[in-house]
Amino acid sequence: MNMALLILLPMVAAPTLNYARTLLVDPDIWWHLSNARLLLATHHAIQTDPYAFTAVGQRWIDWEWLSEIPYWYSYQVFGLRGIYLITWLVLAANLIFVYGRGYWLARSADAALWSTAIAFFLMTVNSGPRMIEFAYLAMSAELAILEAVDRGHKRLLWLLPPLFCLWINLHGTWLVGLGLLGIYIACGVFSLNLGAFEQRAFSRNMRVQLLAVFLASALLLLVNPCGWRLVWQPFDMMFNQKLSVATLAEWQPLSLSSMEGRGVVIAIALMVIANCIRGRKWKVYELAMIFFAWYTAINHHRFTYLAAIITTPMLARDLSRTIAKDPNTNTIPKANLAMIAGAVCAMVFFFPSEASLKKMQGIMFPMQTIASIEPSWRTYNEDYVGGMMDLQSKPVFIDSRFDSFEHLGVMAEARSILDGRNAFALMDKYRVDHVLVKDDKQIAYLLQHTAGWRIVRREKAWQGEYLLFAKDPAPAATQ
Amino acid sequence: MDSTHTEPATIPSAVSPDLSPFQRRFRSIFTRHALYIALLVVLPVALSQSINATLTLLSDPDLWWHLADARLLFSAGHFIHTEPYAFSVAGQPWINPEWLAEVPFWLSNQVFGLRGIYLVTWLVIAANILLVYARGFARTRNADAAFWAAGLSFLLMSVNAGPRMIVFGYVALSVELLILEAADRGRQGWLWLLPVVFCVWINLHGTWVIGLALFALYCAAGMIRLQMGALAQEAFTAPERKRLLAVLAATLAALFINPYGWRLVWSPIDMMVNQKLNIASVAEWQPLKIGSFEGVTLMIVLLVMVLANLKRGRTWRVYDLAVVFFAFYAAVDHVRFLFLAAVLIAPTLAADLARSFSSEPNEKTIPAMNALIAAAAVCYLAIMFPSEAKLQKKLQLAFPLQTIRSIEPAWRTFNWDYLGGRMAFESKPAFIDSRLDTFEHHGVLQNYMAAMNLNDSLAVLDYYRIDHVLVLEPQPIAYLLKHTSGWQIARREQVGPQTFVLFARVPDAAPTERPAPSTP
Repeated sequence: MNMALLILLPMVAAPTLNYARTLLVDPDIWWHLSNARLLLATHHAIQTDPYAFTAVGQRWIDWEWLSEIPYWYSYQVFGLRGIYLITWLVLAANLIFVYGRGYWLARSADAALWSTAIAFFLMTVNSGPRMIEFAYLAMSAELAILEAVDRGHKRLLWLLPPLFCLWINLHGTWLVGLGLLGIYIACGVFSLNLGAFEQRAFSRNMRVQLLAVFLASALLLLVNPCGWRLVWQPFDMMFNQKLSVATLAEWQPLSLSSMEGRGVVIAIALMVIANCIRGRKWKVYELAMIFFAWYTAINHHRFTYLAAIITTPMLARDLSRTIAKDPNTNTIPKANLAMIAGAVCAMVFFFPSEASLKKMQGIMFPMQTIASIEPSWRTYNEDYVGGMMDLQSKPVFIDSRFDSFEHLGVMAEARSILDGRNAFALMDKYRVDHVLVKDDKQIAYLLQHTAGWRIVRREKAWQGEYLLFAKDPAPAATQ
Repeated sequence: MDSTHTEPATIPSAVSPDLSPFQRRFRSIFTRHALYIALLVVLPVALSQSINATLTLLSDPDLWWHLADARLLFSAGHFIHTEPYAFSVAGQPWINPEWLAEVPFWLSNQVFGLRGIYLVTWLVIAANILLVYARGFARTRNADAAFWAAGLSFLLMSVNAGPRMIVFGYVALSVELLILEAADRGRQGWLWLLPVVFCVWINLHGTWVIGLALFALYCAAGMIRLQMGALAQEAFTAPERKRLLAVLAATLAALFINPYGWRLVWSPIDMMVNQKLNIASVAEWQPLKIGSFEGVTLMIVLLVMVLANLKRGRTWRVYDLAVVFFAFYAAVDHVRFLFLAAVLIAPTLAADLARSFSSEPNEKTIPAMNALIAAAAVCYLAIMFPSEAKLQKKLQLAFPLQTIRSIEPAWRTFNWDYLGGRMAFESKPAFIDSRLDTFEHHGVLQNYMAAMNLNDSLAVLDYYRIDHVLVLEPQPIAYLLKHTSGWQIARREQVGPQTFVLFARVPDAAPTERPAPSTP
């Protein structure tokens, strides 16, 4: 019953999946689909920028190619409903995984259910059609392996190298996973018996085995279509993409007033209170991982998902020790069956039609205007619509693959244009002849009050309308 | 009622009987406290962004309208009731919620010039640090632990360690908590100081509302008895409950002893309820960046507390746990509340440090060394105290003073809000300044933001019959005006790395007939 409820939960409570209200808001999914299309059409990995006229011929690797494939196939078969399906399945899989880990640690189905429900609210930050969700599955698998090792299943450690080999092709979060493995190994090097700390050092054999697994995992990272460049990619994100990290909403600090923020506060408060009511012994690595999880979640909004993956089983254990003490056998099978049947009916009811998804897509993106763009135009576009333009095979100024654009300085310039700072000089630099932006953007206002530019098309969109400006054939000289 | 606090240890006399009277006196003065107090007083001068080398002291935009308020109070001899500076809200009611905190800054400025601002800023921050040190010591009887807790607290305080009125509010908060902590140690009579504290506090800053909530939490948590694991709370006795409720009632009544009556009491609630845009757009109301200096410090404090409690646990009162939780919550949700967190958690942190890490007895010290370090601290303070000329130079690097002075009284100048306070101080009519409350109430803040963000900018300028615009050159509105006929650059002023531009409407180009801005 718990599993049926958890599978249903995203459909009912995730804004992305509940009537697909925000499923298609995500700007990345479209260039991901486009990447997969290109990969399957050409049968080789992308090595240079395929979409933007500002980055023509520049080196670019597709670091999430493997996660894109299920979305593309599903999209090919089921249309927009295919995107919905994969999004739901991956989110549900993540929930089930943390539920399973919570149950193994706590041996209490109730505690595992409630902690997973809290985890769900933390996961909503990235509950859309995001490639990172596949990576969180890999992270859950890694942690499940480590938790199994703690229970004595040491051979399972050898599943880690193939897991990392898969993971690096899914998403750059493999680095976090490797970091967690590093913490696990480092904290087991010493024994500690101090207050609530209780940690026994690994035996010599175990240390050797762990180091061998770590090295094998690191080595297998190179088994990917882009070689060392894919290994370098997350480091590049940390060191060379300051502007992306500084400006993108999901990289900003967590607001505790948001839904995810409240989830974090509730989870932390429950853990603190549970440990005050009935303390337990802690391993150093557990404390280190919990601290890391909450630190990253508060520092970067997007990592509340990561925090959910890491901390949920421990929360389940805390809840089982202090609050959720109902035995697992105390249940009514018929009621469970009825609930499962109800959940299945609700899933059928909530699954959206293709027409409703098309309508949502039309609300979020100026589909007609994008379709009207000519291949020869040099259109300055908001990064938000860039991915959809990629999918429609229209040349873009920028899209939401910010790594490439930040390296080239295009991202800073695109922001400058959007904000109406030095806009004309920059547009002249790139010989821009069309501009596609929303009417509330500064550049839209600037162009409306500047001779030499005129609006050639308007299209209604969510909370406003998109404007397509064209430069007059004989424009007045700009300063 | 508090079973968790460390009992004051009996301190053996550090003074040996065979010492001369001078030696005894010397030893009694230059204790470990003297050393730590000297170091803590120097701390802001050495490390605070605003005070050390006066990097940001005078760039605070609020300071200048605070000084202008106090000037008006003293010159007019009555409290401000209507908007005194901005033509965009001329004649509208406005109350000055921090009038009492402004007075020391103004008087000090009158006597010592810009050095007076420096002096008051330093003294109030130092007072805050010393208060948390004293509270930490009173709780733990361990000077080392209190010192390290106060040192870490100072790092958290640095977020608001400038010439800010709120710093007076935090002094009042520390005093409130000092009284509650003393009441926990049995000095129940001190509770009657609380109404007086709140009476002063409401005239200093709106943070009194937090203080009142903490007091209410203190009262409420003591209504129940709890013994569950590490949670242990004794209930108040009936006389204690009665006294607390009487003090609470007297405190509430005392809040109305202010020049504005209920309006001043309503002011912080208005901030929470009616100033969403203000809170959403002002940087210090944003969530804490854990990667920032203050964020890393907060994490260190949290980690130290967690490790200390895991190493050697203690029992927690519900009130203590709630206060610590609230402190961290507030600091993470709004970066400005790091100062609040420092004031709230410092004694608890000191207790954790004393229990788990610090074992040095207070009397184990070298008075001569303490005296030497205290003397060095005094010398350092004397050396670091800035000259008036240096402060004048810093001021010139913060504001386009020449341009502001060139503004005519008849002009209607649309200005960057950062400059508004200084314009008020120079008696120049401003469009907006950083007193965002009144501007948000009357829709001016919304229009200002729309204009600055190129959203109906020209309509906003026409709506308010703006004839001059004073902004930074890289700001979007400057770019717009440069590319709009009817506007010309009248003046440019280089201020440090930034260039300010004063635009003037071309004389012949009267405001065009544009529809009113779409924002209210």
